[in-house]
Amino acid sequence: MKRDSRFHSVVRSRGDCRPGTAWLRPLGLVLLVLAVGACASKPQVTRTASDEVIDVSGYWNDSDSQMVSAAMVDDSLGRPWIDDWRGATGQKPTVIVGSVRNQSSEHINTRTFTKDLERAFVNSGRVRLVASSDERSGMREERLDQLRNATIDTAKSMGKEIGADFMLIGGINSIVDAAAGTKVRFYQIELELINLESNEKVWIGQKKIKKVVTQSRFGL
Amino acid sequence: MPFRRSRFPCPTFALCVLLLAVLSAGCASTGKIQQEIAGKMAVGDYPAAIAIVEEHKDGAFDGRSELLYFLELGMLLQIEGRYAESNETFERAKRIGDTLYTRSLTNEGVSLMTNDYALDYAGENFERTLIHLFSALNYVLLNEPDSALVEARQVGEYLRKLQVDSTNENAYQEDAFARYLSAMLFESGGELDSAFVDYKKAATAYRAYGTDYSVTAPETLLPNAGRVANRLGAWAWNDLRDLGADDSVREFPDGSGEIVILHYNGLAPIKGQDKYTIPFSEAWLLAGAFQAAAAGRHQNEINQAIAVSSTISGVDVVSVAFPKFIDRPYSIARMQPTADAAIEITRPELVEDIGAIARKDLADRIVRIRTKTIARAAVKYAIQKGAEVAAREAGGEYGGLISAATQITGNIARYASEQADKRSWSTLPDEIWMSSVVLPEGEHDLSVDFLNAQQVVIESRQFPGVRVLPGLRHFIIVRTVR
Repeated sequence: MKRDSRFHSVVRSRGDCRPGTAWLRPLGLVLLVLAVGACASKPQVTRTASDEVIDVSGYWNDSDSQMVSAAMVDDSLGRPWIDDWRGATGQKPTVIVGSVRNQSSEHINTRTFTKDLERAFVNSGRVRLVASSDERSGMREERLDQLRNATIDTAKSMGKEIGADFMLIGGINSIVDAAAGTKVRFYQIELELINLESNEKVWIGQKKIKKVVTQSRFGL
Repeated sequence: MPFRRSRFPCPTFALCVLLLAVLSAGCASTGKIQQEIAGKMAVGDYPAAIAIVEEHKDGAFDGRSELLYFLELGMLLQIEGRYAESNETFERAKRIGDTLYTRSLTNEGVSLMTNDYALDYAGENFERTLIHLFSALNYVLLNEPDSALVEARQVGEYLRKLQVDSTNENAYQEDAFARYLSAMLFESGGELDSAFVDYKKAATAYRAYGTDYSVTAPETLLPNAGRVANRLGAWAWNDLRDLGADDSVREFPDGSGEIVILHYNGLAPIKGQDKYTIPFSEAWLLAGAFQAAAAGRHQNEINQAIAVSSTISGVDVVSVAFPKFIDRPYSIARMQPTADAAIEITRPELVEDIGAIARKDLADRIVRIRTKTIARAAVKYAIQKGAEVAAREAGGEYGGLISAATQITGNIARYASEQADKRSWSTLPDEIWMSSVVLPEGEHDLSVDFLNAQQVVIESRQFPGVRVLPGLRHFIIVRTVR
């Protein structure tokens, strides 16, 4: 009985709370929750396919890089410059990857899609690829080291490098327009293959990406 | 005797407020840590200063003050020459700042019952600009010019956003030195059009700097712009003449290069507070006084504060705390570089008065801050009074006693929780000075003297074997705190 009476008392007391202060109870509970709500939570990890498009911040991300490299590979290998070269010389064209300048307003690692492009060139079997200038210096150091330390029959000789016929260069440009909580990000990626002897541009690849990023001024 | 335990939820609310007050008071401890950091900087012990920041990463610099951790650390790492780490840190700061564009209504609500420490620190606008500026210099010092240009573009985007944001009412919407530095970086990167645009923007911005911060345009600015105009053509000179340029041009002799010395001097003022305890009946009169002094743009906020505070006619006292900047004195007034083979050494000039920008920035917002403070005091007072009434009724024959206890608790909570938001980027220099040294190609020994206001040299630093390449521009950062 006593227990029932106490329970009843609880219910009644709610009804008795002064009209001017009744709103304070839920507010107090909310505040208490907020006060302790700052406690840390464990990070949650979800594995996903590497080609799934996931936009988080609106900045340049892996999806953009993959889209660009796929578009560039398809375009470059489908154009006539390879056959033209083979027809003229009877050999596969040899390509070197030069600098792809980041002229955007984001820190973008251009190596991700130039590496994709290199891989596609090599795997296609239609193009020969030589090491870039950064990579070459390491190779030359190794050859010098071999000449000093390796046996004569296994040491690789100097002066037998293949000179490239074409150089791949390019750049990423961006235009950002922003007002209040809306940003429009426009990226234009351009890659060019230039004949190293004649300076003729034999292929120009271009890919444009446009994103609208909205961010609410207020949230919970 | 009737069992009255059920009436406790309302007094419990006062305890909730007290809990929040205590928690929010605990959040306010970055100030003491920042003083410790300044102490280490004053004696040149930057590793120890970094260690202090790291030590409090999960403490005072966590949660709502997380941005400060990255700002303080990024600045200290740059001075220590750990440029790549500094940039990683600043990159995190930039992302946090972007995220905090979305303001949490929950936190806003809590801040109205406790203090502004319930809000995430998103950085002042000028602090956000300086992140890009320091990052750009880090990349220059890492010999990554393309990445430095990325920062120059980002600062341009950020400043443009400040200018088109209709809710931004502060005078600080342009940064002359950020433009000047960007112009130099674009010029070095061969992007002459962008360089010229930024030289012009810098010239325009320094006009406003004269009015707002008493900083005049550097004498080298227009002659440097003239060098770019020479390459762009006659149209560019017409633009420069409209900005007041004469025909002077700073061309560097063939085979020479430029060393730009940036002197970060002193420590920017740090935020403190003025705390007043006044009868509540005077609080809304105070809000009315702000109304008389404020520009029209704040009228709505002030009217709201008056509406809230004037509904309470109690005779109890109320505490209000308003933020203010406190200068941190230093004795070095300027630098003087020397180099034996120098072709030209420009007079060191003040290019950025961060302390003045900070003070003006706060002054632009102070009316809003004060009105919110008074409105908050009214809300807390109302909550306390409600709790006292509830306690009196719930306490039965002990109601008066419990109500009095609630009142004391509430008073303590209100006083303890009332704090101005004193968070700011404390490791910033108070001033940035600049001097340009033109030298022939080769390695040179450079010396920089630091003089006090009486022109007495109180410190010298040597930079042996500084490499100068023809046609290239290099930067050296020197930091003094004493």
